[in-house]
Amino acid sequence: MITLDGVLGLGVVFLAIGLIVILHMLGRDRDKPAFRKIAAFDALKNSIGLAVENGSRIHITLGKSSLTQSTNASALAGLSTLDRIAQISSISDKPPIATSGDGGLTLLSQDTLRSAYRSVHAPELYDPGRGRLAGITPMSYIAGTLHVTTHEEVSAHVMIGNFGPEIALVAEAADLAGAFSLAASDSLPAQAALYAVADNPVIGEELFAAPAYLGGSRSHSASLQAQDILRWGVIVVLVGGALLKAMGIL
Amino acid sequence: MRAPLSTAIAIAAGGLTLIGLLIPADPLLSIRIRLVEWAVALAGVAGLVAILHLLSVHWRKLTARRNKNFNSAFLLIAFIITFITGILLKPSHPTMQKIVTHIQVPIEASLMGVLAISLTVAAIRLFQRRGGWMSVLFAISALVFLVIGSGFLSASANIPVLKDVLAAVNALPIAGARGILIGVALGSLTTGLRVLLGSDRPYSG
Amino acid sequence: MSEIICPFCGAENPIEAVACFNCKKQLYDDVDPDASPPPRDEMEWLKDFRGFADDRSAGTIKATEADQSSETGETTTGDEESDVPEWLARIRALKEDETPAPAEEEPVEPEELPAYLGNEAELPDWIKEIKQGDVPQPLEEAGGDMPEWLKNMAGPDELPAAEDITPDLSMISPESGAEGGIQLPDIPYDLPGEEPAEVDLGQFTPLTDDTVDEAVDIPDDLFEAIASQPEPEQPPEPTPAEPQDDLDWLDTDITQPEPTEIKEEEPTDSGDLPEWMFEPAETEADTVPEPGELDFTTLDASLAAIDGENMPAAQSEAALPDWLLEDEAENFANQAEFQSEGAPNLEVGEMPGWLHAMRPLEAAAPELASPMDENRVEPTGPLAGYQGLLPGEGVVTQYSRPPVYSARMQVTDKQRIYATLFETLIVDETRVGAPPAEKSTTPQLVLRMSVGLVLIGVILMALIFNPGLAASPTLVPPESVVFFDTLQNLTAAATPPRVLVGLDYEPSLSGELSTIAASVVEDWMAGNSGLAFVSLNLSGPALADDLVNKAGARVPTYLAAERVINLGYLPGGATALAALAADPTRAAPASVDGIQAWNSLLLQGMVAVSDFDAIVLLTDNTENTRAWIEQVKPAVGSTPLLVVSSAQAAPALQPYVQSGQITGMISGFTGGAAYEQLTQAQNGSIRSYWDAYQAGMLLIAAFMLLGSLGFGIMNIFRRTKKA
Repeated sequence: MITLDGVLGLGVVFLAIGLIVILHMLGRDRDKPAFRKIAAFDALKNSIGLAVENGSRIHITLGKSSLTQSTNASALAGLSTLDRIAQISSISDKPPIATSGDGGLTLLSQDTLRSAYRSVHAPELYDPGRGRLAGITPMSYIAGTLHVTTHEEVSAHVMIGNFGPEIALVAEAADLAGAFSLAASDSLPAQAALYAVADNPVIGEELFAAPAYLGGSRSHSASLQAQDILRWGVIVVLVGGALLKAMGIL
Repeated sequence: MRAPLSTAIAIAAGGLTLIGLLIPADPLLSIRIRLVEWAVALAGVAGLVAILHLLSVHWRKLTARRNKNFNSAFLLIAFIITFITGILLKPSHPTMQKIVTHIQVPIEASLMGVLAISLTVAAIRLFQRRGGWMSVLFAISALVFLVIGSGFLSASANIPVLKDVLAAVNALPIAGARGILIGVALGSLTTGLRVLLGSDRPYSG
Repeated sequence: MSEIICPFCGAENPIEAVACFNCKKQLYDDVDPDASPPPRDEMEWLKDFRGFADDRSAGTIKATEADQSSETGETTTGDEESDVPEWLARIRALKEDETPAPAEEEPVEPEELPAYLGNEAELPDWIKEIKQGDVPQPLEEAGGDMPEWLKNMAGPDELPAAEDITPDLSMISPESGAEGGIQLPDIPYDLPGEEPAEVDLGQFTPLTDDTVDEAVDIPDDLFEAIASQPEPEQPPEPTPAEPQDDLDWLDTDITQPEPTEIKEEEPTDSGDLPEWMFEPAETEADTVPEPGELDFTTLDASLAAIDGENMPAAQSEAALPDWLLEDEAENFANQAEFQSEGAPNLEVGEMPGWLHAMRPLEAAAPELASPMDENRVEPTGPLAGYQGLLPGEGVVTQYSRPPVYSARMQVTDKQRIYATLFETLIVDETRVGAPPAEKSTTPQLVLRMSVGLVLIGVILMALIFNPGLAASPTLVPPESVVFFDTLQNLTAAATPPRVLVGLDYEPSLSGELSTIAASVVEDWMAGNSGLAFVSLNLSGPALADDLVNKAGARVPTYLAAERVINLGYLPGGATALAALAADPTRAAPASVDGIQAWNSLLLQGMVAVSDFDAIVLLTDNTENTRAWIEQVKPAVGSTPLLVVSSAQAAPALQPYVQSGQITGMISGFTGGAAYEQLTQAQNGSIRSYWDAYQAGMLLIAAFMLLGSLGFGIMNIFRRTKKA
């Protein structure tokens, strides 16, 4: 049964697809679009370089979201970030470690690492032990991640995914160890907790901009531009609808 | 293109599920439900595989030549006991339920208590870590809602001015949360579409 | 001090010297140069030394020497005879043969001889040598020093015996020859020096014992040829200060026997000395004394003051010929440039063309940039007195610091500018900032411990003592009121309601949610409601049983075994909810006990979620609540959806409350307290925790306020200090 919600949703989906395709094609002949400066990602690039130079490890934690949940999109953004970090830090003495709170996410993180090392022509660097399941439940996941922060000589922590407020324990452990921490989550309580604890918190949808800011492909930039366009569209609809409602038209 | 078959399957399955969700008409609905069931089953199997991988990682840590981690022994022992008990007694057995209520709940609750202390210390050191108007706004809102949430002002909520002020203040986080959630939704949409279009392939291996 | 240094050239001269042997300049200012003996012939000094007149013959000398030696008892020995070179002895012998026998001469009376000649003990060594040199050496004894051509002239057996040779010393001292002194061989001194002629050795007949007495005509150029012959074993050339070394050959024994007459090609005047004996003088040098008779008498004054070991007094410039004071090599070197100054008797020779072509390369080479000072006389060293030498003294004795070469790179101004520009470009890249101070974690740990201990202490105190200071909330949120009203309406109905309870919170938040939910579940139990629990997380079934037990303990009349069913864990999240909403009998067919749930007494006749009277959701996260709202609510229609949420999820669920998708909601301890206020529960579970909860919250707020103020003020002061 076709409903209005379904039709509207389908329209928004096709609009987003069209924007991504068009912007992807337009980006072929142009320079990379200039996005606004996000200090957290600049600091992340520096910390990756420093970690490579001083031979320490980078830790990426992808959250506890399952593949069948709606919050899995943040995990996909985390996987793209893992791919970029693995490529950049492939020359480091200690490869990065990826932890997650879901089985499917663990397998995907291993797949991403293998793909990243293959793209830099270093498949021998792949180790399935670098993509780990930290715990099944949220708290056991945090407990397993805390162990990595203290025993794996990590100098940079990247927390990108769906978390609860308990992720603040990981950020605080990183702060006590003097390591760099960047935290991005789609969960409001996690964002609130991480703003006070993490060195470089990322608020809201900036989480999905991480792959584009780390030097991703043209499709990442195109989807980020499409996201900006859609946001302006939502703003226009909200403001317009409020005005129309206020005017009594709606 | 790497892994073309995997990409084709991913695109087809994702597209059918999306369309079936938006247009819940037969046979799309049936296909969607079937695909989702398969996905759930695969996720469960993936979970099992991940658990076995977790055990292997801890076993390697326990038997490593250098930097042995003896804490991994506790994990392995606890897993074996719980697994055997669950197999033998079934999950509804009171003994199994006591493992949850008498071990898991206290441990996780204590971690939550540590979290409360950590967040308190982080709030105290907020201005030491970072300054700016965002930190001032954060501190003010946290203080206000701490006071409101404690119920300290509930006794005086009948005061008309205070009542209206409290109502307005309570509405502020709702507005902010809505804005963040809309942005997150848009980001989730574009990220999912990148997977549907095949530009993001975390499964390529 | 037995020597005096010449102030002009620095040469060393004996203390008795009046004029410098080297530069011929007066050593003393008070010495009247006119008082010096008149210039004499070049060889006059030799004649004076010998004490012979010009016509004195060698034989006379020999006889005189023989007489003197007999007087003094000194006999000549073969060694003394060996001091005289053979060649000289031969020449003397030849000279004697040529020269006629001298007239009868009265031998010099020993007492008439100069005092120095009479007393040989007082004689200097060089005079003794001269005296001894009158005895010609056997040729074989001095064979090494004799040039080959001379050796060929007379074999070892052909040379006359030394005792047979009586050199004619008359030439040496022509003046004193009248006194009957020593007679030296008549060495020709007027031999042409500028025009060396080839020596025809054929004209010389080999000397034999028979011919040795014959006078041998010695050609004038013989001595030049002799002088041109290289002598390999020549001793080092004497310095001008030591003229006596060259005079060793003169140390012939005046008592030698009569020399045999030697045939000479050209008779020479015993009184005339050959010109070759007069070396070319320097332009600045002293004038070459006229070759003439030597006047030994002039030596009296000088020799009187002679010490045995000292050198004889320097004669005047005219007394000592220059050739005795100069080196032969120097003579040869200056031969090409020789200019006879002050030698009026010497004819300026014309160098033949072939000889000019054969001149040394150094003479034809272009002049040096800094031509050597040819007139420079070497003042010191073994070559003192010689001219035309490389100035080695200045190099050897005058040390100077070696040149210091700068190791700095020569940079032009333009290069310097470019370098400065480049440096400014890269200075930021190479600049290393001060490393940040290492953070110490001790203050942080201390702060954490302090805050934790204080918090725990306050909460424990409130829990233990329960002072009841915290006032219950009087203002109840509307959603809580709706929640209460809905529950009261359903439980007041005639038929006990059947409620689907979704337990969707983690064990970590079970303390909050189980406390709040316990009050709600107690009210449902009090109404004898049927409760079907379903969970979306693994620990949900266990938490559900715990909740039922906790709430049931407060309602003893509730039969939980009949009125509660636990449908267990639903995997899949939203999809599971969607499936539940679509067909709950398929989504959750059995309970955790394994019995068919939808065939039980509680759920009998129910096939859809809409058959339930209410749906109560116990949740701690927004996402799952949204899933329930999105998946299940549309399927239930008007069935109320009541939510008991944690305080952290409440703000995100308010839109759903305001939109009516959530019928009623209790959020957090505040909402629970408000709900208990509505139900007027006296011993509600929330009430027992209310004081501790409020104390903890206010304490955290106080900590936060103090910390913000303190660190905020410190930041302001730090910024002011930096500015």
